[in-house]
Amino acid sequence: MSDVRTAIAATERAAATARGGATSAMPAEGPQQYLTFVLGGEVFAIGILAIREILEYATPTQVPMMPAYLCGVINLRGAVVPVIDLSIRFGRAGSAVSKRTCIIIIEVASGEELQQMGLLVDAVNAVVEIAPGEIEPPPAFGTRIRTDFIHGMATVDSRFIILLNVGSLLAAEELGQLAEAAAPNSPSAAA
Amino acid sequence: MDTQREIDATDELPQPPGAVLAAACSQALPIWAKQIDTARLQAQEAVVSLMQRFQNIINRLDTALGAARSQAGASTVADDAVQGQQLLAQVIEALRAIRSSRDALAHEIRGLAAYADELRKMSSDVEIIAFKTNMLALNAAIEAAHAGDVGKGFAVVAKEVRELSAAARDTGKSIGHKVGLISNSLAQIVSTNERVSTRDEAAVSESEQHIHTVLERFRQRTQLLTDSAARSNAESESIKDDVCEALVQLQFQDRTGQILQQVVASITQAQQLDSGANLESADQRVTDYLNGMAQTYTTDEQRQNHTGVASGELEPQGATFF
Repeated sequence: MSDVRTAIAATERAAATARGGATSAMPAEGPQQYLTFVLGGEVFAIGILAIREILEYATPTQVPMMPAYLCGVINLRGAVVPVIDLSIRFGRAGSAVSKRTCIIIIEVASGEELQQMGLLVDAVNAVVEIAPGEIEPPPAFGTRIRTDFIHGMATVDSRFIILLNVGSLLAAEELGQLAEAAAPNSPSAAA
Repeated sequence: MDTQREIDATDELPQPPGAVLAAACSQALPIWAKQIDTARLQAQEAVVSLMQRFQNIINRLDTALGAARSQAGASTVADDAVQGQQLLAQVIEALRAIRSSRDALAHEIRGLAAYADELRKMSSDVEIIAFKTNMLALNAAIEAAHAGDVGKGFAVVAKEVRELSAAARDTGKSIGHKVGLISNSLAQIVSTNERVSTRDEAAVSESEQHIHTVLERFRQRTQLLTDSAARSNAESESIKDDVCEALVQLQFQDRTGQILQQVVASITQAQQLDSGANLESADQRVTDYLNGMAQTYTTDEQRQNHTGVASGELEPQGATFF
């Protein structure tokens, strides 16, 4: 409850400071809003302005000849959106689908365009507000995922959460592959 | 006195053969007559008193038999046994009715358990709705963030909706928890009821068996009582009949009395044979005397005795009792 309240309260401030960038780039001043979610029992967070929306899980359509972390594609209001299983992308076993499984639709810059993609997560938690000063740099070791995915660490409700760097989730050529996968139906992101 | 005079008179006469016998007889005859009469009277008295006692015995037996009949005791006891059996059958019936009503109750409770399952599903539906509402609120918060200043009011609404969804989720969970408790209790009630019901059934059938055993024993005892009462009644009847028979037999006294009375009368007459007017010869007088004696007989035995038939060969005269 409290995190929601802070999140909503933060909305007013965040709206002024964090406008205009649907990317992972974070302005230095003022608290930012993050969406927390659970993956393999750990809590992660993504900057809320990078997120387009949250969907209930629907089985994606499998696409042949694609990397293992790509579950498939979904039809989002006519646009073909690739869905990435973050667990596999982080080098873990694939997520088991439960009734709380969600797909978070994010927008990342791919060259000149914005590329939409879905992230398969175990559950979404809440919108939290984290000030830039509260964010610790990623540890040099001790986490099981590549540190370039990690924007930083923060403590919310006396629990560590990992802030993900959305832009670094996929390398440029990987994004290109995704764009190809999405290409037949949706040459451009329907933002 | 007369007899003494006669004896004195005979002393002076010459002694013909048999004169001593005649003299002794004439002296002894009145004594014999008296002895016989005394014996007759004593026998009569004893027999009459005996008959009186037998009559008393018969009266008492009659009273006893009458009492036994009017009481009809054994049959009443048998009726009681039958009635008791009916009453106990009613009791067993009542126990069965209790059991069947408990079964009905158990059925109702099982129906409730089905409702509990439905409620559990509804509570999980509430949780799903809360989950979806939460997603909606999160999406609203995202939209509000994208909208910037314009989305501020919307963000507040989104926050409220999220709180509501969290409340709904908690409520749904607690409903589910409570429903779980209730359905566990119901299951326990049903299983307890079934256990108790099984035990009750055994108890009822056991009591039924016991009751039947008791009643059967009671019935057998009653039968024995009835039989022995009937036997005792029959015995009493037959004793009474025997006593009646004996009473009838005792009326021989009348006959012997008459015979003895006649003998006494004959002896008395015999004493007057000599003192009467001596118009006829002695032989003639003896014959007359014997004939007269024969006329006073009242029984065949007397007449047969008189005509000389040995009394041992006599057929006893047919009883013509009155």
